[in-house]
Amino acid sequence: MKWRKLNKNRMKIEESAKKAKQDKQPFQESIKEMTGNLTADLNLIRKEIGHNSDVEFREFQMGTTGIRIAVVFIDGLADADVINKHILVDFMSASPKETGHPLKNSSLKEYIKNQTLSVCGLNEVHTLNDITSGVMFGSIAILVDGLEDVFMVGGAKAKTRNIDEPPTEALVRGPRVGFIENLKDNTALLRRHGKDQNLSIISFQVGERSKKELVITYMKDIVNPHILEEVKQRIDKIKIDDVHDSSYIEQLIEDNFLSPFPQVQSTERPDRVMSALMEGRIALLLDGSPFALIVPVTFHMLLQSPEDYYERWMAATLIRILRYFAAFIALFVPSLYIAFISFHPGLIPTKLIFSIAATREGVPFPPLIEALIMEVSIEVLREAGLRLPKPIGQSIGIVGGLIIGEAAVQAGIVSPIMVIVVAVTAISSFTLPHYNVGIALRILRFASMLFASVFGLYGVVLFFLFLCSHLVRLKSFGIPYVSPAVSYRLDDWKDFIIRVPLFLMKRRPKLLHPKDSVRKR
Amino acid sequence: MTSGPLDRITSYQAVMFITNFILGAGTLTLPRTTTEKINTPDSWIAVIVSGLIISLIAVIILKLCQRYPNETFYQFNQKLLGKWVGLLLSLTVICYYIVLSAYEVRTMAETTRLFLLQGTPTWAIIMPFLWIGLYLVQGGVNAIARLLEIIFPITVLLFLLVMFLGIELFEVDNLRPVLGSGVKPVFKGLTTSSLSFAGFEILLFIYMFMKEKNNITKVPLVGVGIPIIFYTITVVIVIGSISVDAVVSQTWPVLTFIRSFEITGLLFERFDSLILVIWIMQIFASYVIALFIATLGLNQIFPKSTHAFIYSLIPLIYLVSMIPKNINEVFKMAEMIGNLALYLFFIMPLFLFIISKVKERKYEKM
Amino acid sequence: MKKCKPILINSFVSMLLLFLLSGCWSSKSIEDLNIAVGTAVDKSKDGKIRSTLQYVIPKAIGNSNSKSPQQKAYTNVSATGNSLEPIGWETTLQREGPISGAHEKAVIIGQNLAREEPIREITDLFFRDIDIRGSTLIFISKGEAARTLESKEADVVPAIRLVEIAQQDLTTRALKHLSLMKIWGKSNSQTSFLLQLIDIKKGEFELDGAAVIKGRTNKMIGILNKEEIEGINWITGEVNSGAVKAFQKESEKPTYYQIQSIKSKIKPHVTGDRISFDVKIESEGRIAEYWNPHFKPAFKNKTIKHIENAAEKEVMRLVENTTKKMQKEFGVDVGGFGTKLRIKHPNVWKNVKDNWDEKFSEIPITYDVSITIQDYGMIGSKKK
Repeated sequence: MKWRKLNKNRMKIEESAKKAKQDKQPFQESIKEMTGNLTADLNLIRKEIGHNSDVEFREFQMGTTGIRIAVVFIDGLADADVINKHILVDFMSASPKETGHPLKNSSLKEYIKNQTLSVCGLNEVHTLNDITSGVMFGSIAILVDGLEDVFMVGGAKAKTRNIDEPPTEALVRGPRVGFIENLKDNTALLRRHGKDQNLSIISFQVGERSKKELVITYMKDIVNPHILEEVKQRIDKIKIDDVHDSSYIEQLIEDNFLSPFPQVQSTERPDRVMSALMEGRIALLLDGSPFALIVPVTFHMLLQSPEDYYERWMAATLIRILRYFAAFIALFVPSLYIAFISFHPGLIPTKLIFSIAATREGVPFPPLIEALIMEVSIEVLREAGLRLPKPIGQSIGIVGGLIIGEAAVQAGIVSPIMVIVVAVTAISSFTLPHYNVGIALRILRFASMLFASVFGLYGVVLFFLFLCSHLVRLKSFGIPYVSPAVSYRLDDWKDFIIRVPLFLMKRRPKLLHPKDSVRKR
Repeated sequence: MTSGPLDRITSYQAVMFITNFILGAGTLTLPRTTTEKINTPDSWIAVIVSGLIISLIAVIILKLCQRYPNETFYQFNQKLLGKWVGLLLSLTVICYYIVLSAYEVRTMAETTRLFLLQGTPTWAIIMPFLWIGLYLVQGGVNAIARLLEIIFPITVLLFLLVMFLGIELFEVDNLRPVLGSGVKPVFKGLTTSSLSFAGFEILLFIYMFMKEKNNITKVPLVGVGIPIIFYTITVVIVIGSISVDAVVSQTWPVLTFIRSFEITGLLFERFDSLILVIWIMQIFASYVIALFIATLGLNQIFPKSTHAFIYSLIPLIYLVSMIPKNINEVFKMAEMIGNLALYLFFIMPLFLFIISKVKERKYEKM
Repeated sequence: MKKCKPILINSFVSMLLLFLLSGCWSSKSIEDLNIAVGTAVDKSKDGKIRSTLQYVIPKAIGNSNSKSPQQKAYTNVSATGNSLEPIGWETTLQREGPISGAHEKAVIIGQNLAREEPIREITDLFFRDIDIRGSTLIFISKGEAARTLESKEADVVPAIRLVEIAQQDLTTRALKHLSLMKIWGKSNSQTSFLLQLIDIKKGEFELDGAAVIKGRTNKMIGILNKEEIEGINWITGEVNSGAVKAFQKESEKPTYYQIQSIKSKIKPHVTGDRISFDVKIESEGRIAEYWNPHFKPAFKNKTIKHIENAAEKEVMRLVENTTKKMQKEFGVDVGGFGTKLRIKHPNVWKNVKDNWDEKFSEIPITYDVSITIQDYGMIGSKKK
């Protein structure tokens, strides 16, 4: 419900933006139409964008007719091959005399369209604004003397990289394909995945200035229309000058900005997107970003990896249980340790308590400070390792992890058991398949350590209750975040902690209320 | 779009509401309270019998609610009893739940202070607990239902697991002879053991939110059935392990039992603090439900925003929970609540049910 | 829809207050704790109570590098007072750090004190205290209790060793280990019971005999020796391992029967006013040692029968001896006969329970022992 408030805020911003626009209106309202006079038109365009060094104007004549033609494009952005091999060649070798008629405006246009230009993707525009924005986007504008219509050919030919396996979501088994920065390639990847004609790809424009293309994809006959409507509404409400990456979209459409949990899943893997679509979810792809967004998100998705489905079910189930266990360790073990040794020594086995007490002998700090020292230094090491170039990063890890840890124990600043606890915690948090879940758990771990240091085990339980209270209130696009764990939907539990064999998964998750729920007959 | 059909709770969730509301702070003293009057090892029979009676009453409550499918108790009692009597009854019920939640919180604080945090002031223990409850109740009936579903399996499974870990102490001789003094003492204990099932009346308030409204007789039956099983296991194991004579002398018999064994070779050696901490979650559930019903009532009687009421209830609950000066007064408070519950929810629903039947007849005659 | 703001304020305020509390009221550093593992309670010379607490020194038993070889693993602190609580506080004047009773393993009561004060009252503190576990074991010391908490070996904690010995329940010559929680019920229902007795021999303790606690007074009234404990264990069937002599005449060379299981069934019979008990004891086991001068090979069933008979006779002697001691010398029921009567004949029990111990002395008890030897190990016969 909270996002409503947010949306209200957004709407306010929107209104004020509109007002500002209205103030500017007089300038923009004078839409300049093309006149048909080439020189005048070119001058108009020159005035608008001619000061840019990369805007090229090329004038020539059409075959033997003497009709003047000008091509406007941006050097480097527009496809030079198209200009050289098609536009220039086509026009220069055109000989419209064969028709026998003097070329009138209308027939000239038809002639150029039908017989001259050998390119696909041809648009006709006639306002200055359309021309300039098209050119800036990488199209080639062809102005023909005597024609008010301007032909726009092609789009940007951005330099793209190869379709590689995404490094952040590497799998042992599974397709080695990842999204890239080019939207068209990405949607093609999805199309290529299967021949389902129900795969809908709907385009939106976001960014008041940058006008980036955003597509939402979904399975027309599976998706729940309420959720789809909700997604569309939220995208419509985005009013921002520029979106640099899909993470902007993520932050602008999420339900609760106060929550540490990611409410939108981001992935680089087309197979992951496709399986989400097949469950009735919706994916968002932004031009220029290799990360697709999947909504709505439920908590269990964040602990799953596509590999769970590629491996056989027993292995997959065990790995999932392991992951839940690791998440528990990453979240609670340091706080439990603090609680036990500073509040409830009675719970620990007698022999263990003697050895813990012996190792803590001479450590000058209370357990909380000790834990914070170690946790913070591990976080610092991790951050340092990320920023540094790979070879140095590894050696920093070794120096930091081994040498500092060992030295700290030797110097009596921390106890060896604390080093074990912190190391186990850190390793566990790396087993989570999503980077941002790891971050969320890290934040929460510190909170739970503080709770534990004030209230001991009671504090840990308070923290757990607080966490649960937050989770049960959280929704992602109207779908409760904690489903399918609760409310109990036993059908959906087939793909929750345990993953049953594929032949038993006959239905799509019910939690999304899909239109077509049968997956397998 | 979040409201509407999604604001309904499923039948499972209704069961969770009933079960979690019944299982509360009282469980920790259950073997003593049920045995005190009976004084033979037969209190588990009393628990089962009273449980069966309670499930009958719960079914009657369901039938009563089914006459008013879209109203809570606060609304339909005015139709049955007239505006002012109904209003008075509603206010009494609200007071009952405020005192009940205060009692749950206080018991939690007492046991925590005793076993977990010696030296921490009571207010410091209570306050974060109240805050978290407040945060949850703001999420509405669905959020509460989901939380119950999360904590119920954790608490009950771990509790039973720990109970069974102590099975080495169990001696059947402590439970025998069955009905050695006849059935008389069992009857004497029926009232007190029935009171341990207080909370089954929750259906009066949540029926309105249920998705399915017909053919759900199993909801109250299962909802009360789980506590019957749970209570019986607890009573049998605790009495069987530490004998009737010890049970009646212990302040917290369940904790005494768990304190009296240790398992070596595990990560933990003893489980009393552990079980207490887990049981705190269950107490939290009861407290949150009581708070929710109280706010729901205020909300339905006085058309005002919910939040104002929740915020004003929290300090009130805190004050009420601080009234008992020592542990004896806390137990007295429990007794008082039990007596009130007896009239409010054991007798009154039957009464209301009869009235509604009579009214129905009248309409038929007309 | 003013929802966002209150939650923000709420969570913020609650977090802030939480930290402002600067809490940790109850937090204690684990290395500063004095972890008490044993308590010895004695009667001091001036008639007061003297209590000795045994603390573990973790550094000495932990496998840390700083361990000094000569350092003892424990330290004993004692003080004198009227009861245990003031003594406990008294000891905090001698040693730094708070006392943690959570790992208390053993309570040892001196014989002198146990004969004068009810056990229930001496141990009241241990029951009432939140930290001390109900699983703490309880013992009576023949001599001064404080001496049992001492050892010559450096890295041994006597209280822990004592508990480890008691908990193994290896032989019928010692009682099954008894925790505080078990004696609480018995004290409360005024049942008589036995407590393990410890004696000091050459500076080290040994489990030796049992103290008889009379139900009504809850005080110690006498001692059973090891042989009588054997009898008790055969009657109750609680300890399931040990050995029994399986030869009768001195001329026969030693033969021993090793117990693998004991099943005992006490059956009460009530006819009118007369109460009697039938005890059926069944045991299975093997021949553990068989000095075989007469060439009776164990391969023969006859030999086995012979040995079984000898063992049965011995067991019979043990239980009858013990019964005599219970009924005639002490006049208490420590064999669990009363419980069986309560279960089988609750109405009869109601009439006799108030002076059960006296009544018990008069009741006839018959025993039926049957021993089955299942195997005889690796040797079946020997040549001369």
